[in-house]
Amino acid sequence: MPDVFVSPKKDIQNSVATEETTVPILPERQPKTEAEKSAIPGHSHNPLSAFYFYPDHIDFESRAKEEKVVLLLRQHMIVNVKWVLATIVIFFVPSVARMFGVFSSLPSGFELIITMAWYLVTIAYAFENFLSWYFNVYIVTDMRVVDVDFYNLIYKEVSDANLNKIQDVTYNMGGVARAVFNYGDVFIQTAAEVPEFDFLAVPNPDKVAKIIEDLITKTSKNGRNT
Amino acid sequence: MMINPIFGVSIWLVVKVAALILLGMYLVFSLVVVRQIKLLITTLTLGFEAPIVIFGYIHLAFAILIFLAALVIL
Repeated sequence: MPDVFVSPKKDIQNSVATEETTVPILPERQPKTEAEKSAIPGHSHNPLSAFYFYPDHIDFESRAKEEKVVLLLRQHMIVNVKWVLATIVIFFVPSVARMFGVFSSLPSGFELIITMAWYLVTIAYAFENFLSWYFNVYIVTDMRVVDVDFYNLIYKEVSDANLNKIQDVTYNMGGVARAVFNYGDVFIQTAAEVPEFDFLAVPNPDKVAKIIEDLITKTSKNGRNT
Repeated sequence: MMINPIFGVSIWLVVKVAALILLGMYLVFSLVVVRQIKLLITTLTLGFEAPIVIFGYIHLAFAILIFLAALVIL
């Protein structure tokens, strides 16, 4: 008697082949020439870029001689909107105060000094926010991940973990702004001294996670960092 | 505008001294910023160092200018 229902056989070979042909983001070998680097999506020459794949002329204090920087990340440019808007509003405060006659009761000279001092503090506020964004970077090299945090102008923290100490890489992209501008958080669990590295608000978190996973695979194949 | 002196000292003189102390402290802060930028750059070289250093010095020059202006004008 023929079977009424026969489950269709899955094309196992095909599904395996599909998985294997998933193109890794990381190139097979380290690009050396500028032409090779330029061919890689994400490579940029903009020093203010938030996603910098195989960056040029990047160096940091604890970099080993043979260590190559694969990825440099900082928070997405859009996170700066808040302080930029605040700076614009603060910038117009003296003009508004003058319109309402706030300075009329002050002796001559005070208005000029107060206005100049106000602009000085406004510039300092914007400059410190910019420096904080610019120097808070996450670096992925072919050996390790490095997190450089500048909490303010007088306190910095640099932590790193070797790729072979990384246990898990996850990312999330919750929220409208993050979906629209394609940025999110990447969390790296490690067996190193620092148990978790949080790459917050970085562009293309999916690519970042994939690149780190590819580097871990490559490292374990090559048997480096052991 | 006339304001009665307190213990024989004009209130605006007190305000001037307070403003100079605050601006003097800000001047020290600007120097710290310049110093810190140098330290940041030695920690990380990212390709945008020159404009940041120049801006740090402009900020310091502006702070000195305002301190001197306050000393002369107030």
